[in-house]
Amino acid sequence: MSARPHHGLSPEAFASTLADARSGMGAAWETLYHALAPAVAGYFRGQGAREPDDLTSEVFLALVKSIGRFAGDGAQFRSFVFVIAHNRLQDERRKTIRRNGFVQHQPVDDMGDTVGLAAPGDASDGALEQLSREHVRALCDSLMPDQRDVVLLRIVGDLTVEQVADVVGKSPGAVKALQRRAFEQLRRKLSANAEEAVPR
Amino acid sequence: MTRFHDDGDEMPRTATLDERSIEAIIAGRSGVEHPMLSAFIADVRLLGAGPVPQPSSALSSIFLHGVSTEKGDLRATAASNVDGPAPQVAGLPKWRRKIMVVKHFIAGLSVVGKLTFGIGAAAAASGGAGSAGVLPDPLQHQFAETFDGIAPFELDDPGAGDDGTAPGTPGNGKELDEVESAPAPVVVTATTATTATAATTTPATTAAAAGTTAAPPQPPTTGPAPAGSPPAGFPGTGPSESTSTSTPTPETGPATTATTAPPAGVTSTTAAPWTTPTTSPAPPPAGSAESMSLVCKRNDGWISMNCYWSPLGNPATAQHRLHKTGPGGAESMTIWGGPSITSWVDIHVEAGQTYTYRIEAIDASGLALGSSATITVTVQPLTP
Repeated sequence: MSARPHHGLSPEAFASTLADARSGMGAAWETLYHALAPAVAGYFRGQGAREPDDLTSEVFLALVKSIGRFAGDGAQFRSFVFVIAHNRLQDERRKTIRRNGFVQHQPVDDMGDTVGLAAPGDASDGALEQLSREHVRALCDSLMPDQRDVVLLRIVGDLTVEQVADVVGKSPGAVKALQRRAFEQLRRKLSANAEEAVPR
Repeated sequence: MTRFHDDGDEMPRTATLDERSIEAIIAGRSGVEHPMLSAFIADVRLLGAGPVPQPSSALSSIFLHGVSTEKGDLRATAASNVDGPAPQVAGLPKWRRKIMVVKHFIAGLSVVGKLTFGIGAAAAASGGAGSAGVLPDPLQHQFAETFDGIAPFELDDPGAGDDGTAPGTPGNGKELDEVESAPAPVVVTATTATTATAATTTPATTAAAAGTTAAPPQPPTTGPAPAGSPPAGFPGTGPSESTSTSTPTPETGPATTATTAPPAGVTSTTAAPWTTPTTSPAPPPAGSAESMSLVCKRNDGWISMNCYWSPLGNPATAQHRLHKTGPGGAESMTIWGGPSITSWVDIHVEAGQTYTYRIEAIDASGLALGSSATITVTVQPLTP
């Protein structure tokens, strides 16, 4: 379905890496971490989590513990990882309701007002990247949470509709509907803010 | 700040957002019909193409020492992994030996990242399951059900009984590229004797004992980024802080750390299992010019080495191989993913230690085509 290239990992390489990870080999875990952690952290970042890197480490620690429950190929493993990540996120959201330590979805009526919502931990990148990220975050924040889940899982997580359906516990049809509404919403926002949000 | 400006900037009304066009946008194939949406999606995608995040200390410990599977539980220190009579190989501590058995790296997180981990792979798990013991059949929906609504950290520990394979001896050894059949590699022995026992999660600050090099630690040349900042940044953002020193090593002549412009996206790298070298890490093969340049710098904000290099330009290049020496000895690893992978983050480094690196282009048979000079880098500690 996707035309994007997928790099590097042959099914055999994944299978043997998974086997090594299962047998407890640290280097294999490191390999898996390198392969997937950027996407997981990006997912948390897109969701506005304050400590995306820490959460990513927690996901992989959980993965280490639960690897015995997994059997599948590389694509399924990717889903598996995002199931854990997404549940971790929901966990965090629940906590936030109590502690307000999480950047929540905030309805916005103007793009300019939402810039600056990016998590503080993102602040070390270059100005352009930062601007881009704030733009992304602002637009993502303008989505409903379940729309945002779908968009980020599809794009940052690089999951298919079916995989996303597994992660969020909805039917593929529901995921497609959320996705379509999200894209229409994004298009409206982008059009309305075309002067401020210059596409590159 | 008027939101309601002329409609000239609006998307063409004809470009509807049906499922097909959404998929085209997601796949990056719809830049003409939906320029703004496509550009935005590309930006979103970059969220997941950032540098490898710094693992927590608990996770780093797993990378370094592995997971004890006997009890299916994590053990935090190397001490728990040194039980058993396995002899040390080539003077390397045992945890190192485990690491060097590993073979494949998923290379490929190129900047645009997006690596999808083996999409389309079929039946890939059979080998893994076979070596690890009895496992349920893969069913994607299974784990959705398994995990739905469960906080991941409340999961039962599944480790018990899922594995009869000792760490370091994967059942399907067929994929091993470089195992400990190598003749004793050049080992910098100063600290190896203590490493097996002293390899706790805290850095063994046994001084820069890499005997093959004479590079003294240097003070940081610039102040590091504020604490807590993630490393280098997104594609195009090179490491801004150079804490490396580059000195020639005896066998390779002048250091060629001459930083040729790093390839785009040097911050995006893949995993790092190291193996003992089957070829000596020492001099490049006769006749191969030092035609590659290699730069290694500590990443901003965390203890890890960002290595990137210029490609050789030889079309026969199939992979790159990185050679390293340090307190733990000499190691080399093949960086899978093809000739376009020109960077690597080595997280097996410790502050205050000195390491040497050399990159080599190899062809499909593993034959070296060209090499960089050996560079020497001292990992500067993080300074608040």
